[in-house]
Amino acid sequence: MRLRRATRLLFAALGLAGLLTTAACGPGAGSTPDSSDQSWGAVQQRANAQGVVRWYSVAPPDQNDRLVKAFNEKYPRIRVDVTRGASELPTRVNAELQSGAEGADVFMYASTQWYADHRDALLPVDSPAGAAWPADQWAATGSAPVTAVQPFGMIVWNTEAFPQGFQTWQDLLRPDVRGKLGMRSVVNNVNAGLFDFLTRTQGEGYLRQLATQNPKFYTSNVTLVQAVASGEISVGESATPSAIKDLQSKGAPLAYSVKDVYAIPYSTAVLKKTHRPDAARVFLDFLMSKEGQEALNGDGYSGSVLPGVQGTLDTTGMAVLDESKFPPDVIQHWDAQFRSIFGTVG
Amino acid sequence: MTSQILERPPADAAPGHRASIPALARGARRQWPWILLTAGVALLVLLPLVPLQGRALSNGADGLRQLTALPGLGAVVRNTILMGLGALAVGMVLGTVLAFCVYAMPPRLRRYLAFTPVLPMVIPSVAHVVGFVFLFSPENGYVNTLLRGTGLFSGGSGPINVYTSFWIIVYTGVHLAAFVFLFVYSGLRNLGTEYELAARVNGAGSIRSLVTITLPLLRPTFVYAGAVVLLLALGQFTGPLILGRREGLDVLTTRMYELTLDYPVNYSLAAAFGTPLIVVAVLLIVAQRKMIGNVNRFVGQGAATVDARVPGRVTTFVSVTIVGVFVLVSAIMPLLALAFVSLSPFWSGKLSLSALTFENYPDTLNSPAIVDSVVTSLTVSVLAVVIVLPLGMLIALGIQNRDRLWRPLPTILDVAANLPLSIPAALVGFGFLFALSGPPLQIYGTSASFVLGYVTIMIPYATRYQLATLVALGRQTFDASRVSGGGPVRTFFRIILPLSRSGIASSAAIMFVLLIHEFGVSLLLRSPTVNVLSVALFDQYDGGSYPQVAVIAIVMTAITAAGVAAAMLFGGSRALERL
Repeated sequence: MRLRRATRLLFAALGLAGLLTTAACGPGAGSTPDSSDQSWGAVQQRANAQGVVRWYSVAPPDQNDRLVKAFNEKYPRIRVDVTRGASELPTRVNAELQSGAEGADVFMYASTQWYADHRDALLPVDSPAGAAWPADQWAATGSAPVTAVQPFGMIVWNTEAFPQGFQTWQDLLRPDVRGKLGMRSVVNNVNAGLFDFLTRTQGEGYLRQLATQNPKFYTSNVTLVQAVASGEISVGESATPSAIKDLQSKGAPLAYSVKDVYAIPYSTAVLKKTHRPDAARVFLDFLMSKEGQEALNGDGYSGSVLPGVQGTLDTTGMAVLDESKFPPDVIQHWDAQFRSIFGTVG
Repeated sequence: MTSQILERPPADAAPGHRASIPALARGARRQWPWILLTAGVALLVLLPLVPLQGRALSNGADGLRQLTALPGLGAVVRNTILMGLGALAVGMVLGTVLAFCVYAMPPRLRRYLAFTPVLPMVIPSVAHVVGFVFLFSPENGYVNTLLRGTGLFSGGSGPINVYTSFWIIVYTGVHLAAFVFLFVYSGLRNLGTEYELAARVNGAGSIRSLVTITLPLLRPTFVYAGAVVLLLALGQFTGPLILGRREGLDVLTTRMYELTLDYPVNYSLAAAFGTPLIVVAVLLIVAQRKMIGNVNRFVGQGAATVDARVPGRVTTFVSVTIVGVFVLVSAIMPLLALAFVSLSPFWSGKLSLSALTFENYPDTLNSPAIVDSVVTSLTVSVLAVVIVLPLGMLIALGIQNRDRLWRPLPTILDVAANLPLSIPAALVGFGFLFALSGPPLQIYGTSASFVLGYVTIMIPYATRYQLATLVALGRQTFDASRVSGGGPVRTFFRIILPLSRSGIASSAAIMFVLLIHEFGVSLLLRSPTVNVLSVALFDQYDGGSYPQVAVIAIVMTAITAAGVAAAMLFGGSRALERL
């Protein structure tokens, strides 16, 4: 009798547990919204379910880390896989677009032209931060916002060699700078833009005067800044605040000026080929928000086109690269000028 | 397969006799494995080349026309040739001297010092160059700082400026001397001592014996080594890129690399830079074949040779000193500089011990990306070596037995097996990117793409090292086995393979090292989920910090050293000495 009752109770308990489980797992109970639901809440839910976003970025590692950390504080369930690169990134992304290979979901690069050229491959921005974005700050309107204004042409110096520092570009022509100046060597659209900026603002003969300072050439800003920190050279005409801040935090004797700066725009977009569109949209939305802009560009790392973002550099005085003015033939012209002025030893 | 090598094609069987169609068909059937091999190798090496050259020649050879109109091209070509020939001279002389020095040591010393001249190859090239920068940067290199501290040199710069043409040639030559050493030392060991002893018994002094006997018999070795080193020197990238740019020195590869930094990339012009190097490679291959002629004239070891030489004390001392100085300057000092910087918060150029810290190691090595790249590097490198070794042996057999194959086959094999060497690695990387991103081989972004790329670029090394071993072995033992009734497969596995074991082990070790360090192809094939250590190292150089570069360099050096030691153990504890 007791056994029969215990058995009945056991089956009842099992049946109740089964009902509760079915209710919890059944449709409409915490499930991911269908892709036809494009409300922002649904997008966020799907993004959490997708769980990862792959971000190709040309930004310095410090800035990438700051953004990812801030993003994960708001979206802890979405992992961000960062691939940092430089000029090879567009080639890789183009190959992925052509082959449909798994790769970038979100692509940030130091260009506006690439995004204009690949407008059809970009997912339109449809998010709260996108709606508030300035109308004239898009590399491809509606798809690729300009998400950072990164200083490139700026003066950085070794404070042990030059305790008095540098105020203007003309200070690079001082006699004590001779043999101690470092410059970027690669003449691409960015560097051509810098030469053009210096020629326009400092005069036609400025580059030739700079050449008389017997400058040394470096292939990247990072190596140039490290050379300044080490004392191999003592002043550089190109740098990023990120590279300088990283070395300063380790005790390197560096200082820099953000007056009269030449900058390059970083644009970002979600690629249509992405397998995780919602996670990618959420990531870009965060990047375009004030929080994201402060994470990426704050603490003096770079400038933001969004007004009122705390800690970003003032972009109003910056000369920003306009890629449309540097097509291949103009770049070739500046390349020839560079070799003529600064020479190729033969 | 090798039985078909012994049988002449029917068309040659009787001069003047016109072969019948059935006889021709029988001949074709016997040659078909070699035809398949030749077609497969040609397809593999042309995969990254044809799309590239197609780009250069498209639109009425627009790429080539742009190349000829490029400003400063003359100076760039002059620099390329000067540095190529200079590095060749330095590398050949140094490598040969090192090989003779090691060969001249007593067996007991040789056991421990035989592979020390290849230590520079164990250090990744980016790190090796950066190590030289830390040592010899004119303003704040550690060696220059010490030299100026002696009072013998004044001023705030020098006396050594690693960024000049002369020192770039020296650096590249030192780096390439290790390749030359391997070729020449292996050749010396396989040569045996009979002929030298016979010359000495007949009254020839050591110098006369060296000049009239040893050096001529080493001609195939010198030709092979010279061709390899010249192509490597002409396609040298890391040294000129890091050391040449500071003073405005350009070579073909650095100008090509600069093109690839633009967007949109001028692929036609970038591909056109590879055209002259391909032409030089083909010319070198033709010249090489004319200089050696029939490789079987250079007899390898016949009867068993016992090395009964007893080097004198002076010879031993001089040999050990030369090898020791080379290893100190080329490997130990750069490694010490890298280790010092890896323990520094940043590169300061100062030899101060107070700021040393270990924090760079966990900061760098705790990165999941670095751990993944270590696993990927090991996996794809080992797989590629396992695949390319037998492939290289087959190609080497085909080239060695050229008189027994249809005439075009060995020529095509020889050219195809050497072509990947002629192309700068960065250009090959772009070629693979094109070829593997679209149908039919849509494997971009996978480990398979790395394995395919690595196998292709290692074919020249796998072939040359094993061909050098086969040539040195000669045909006597092979023919003796065949005459005694051994079939081709039995002869291969019981005679050729055991005798070639040390050569195979050496080539496996070298290829593993080269692949762990391979950068040009890897940079273009890597993806978010598949990356290798060499690219991770460059990421740090380009966008990180010198201490992090140094940490990864130390780790890569340790991995490659372990790989080389393992391969040497497999090849026998005296793999470099024993036949």
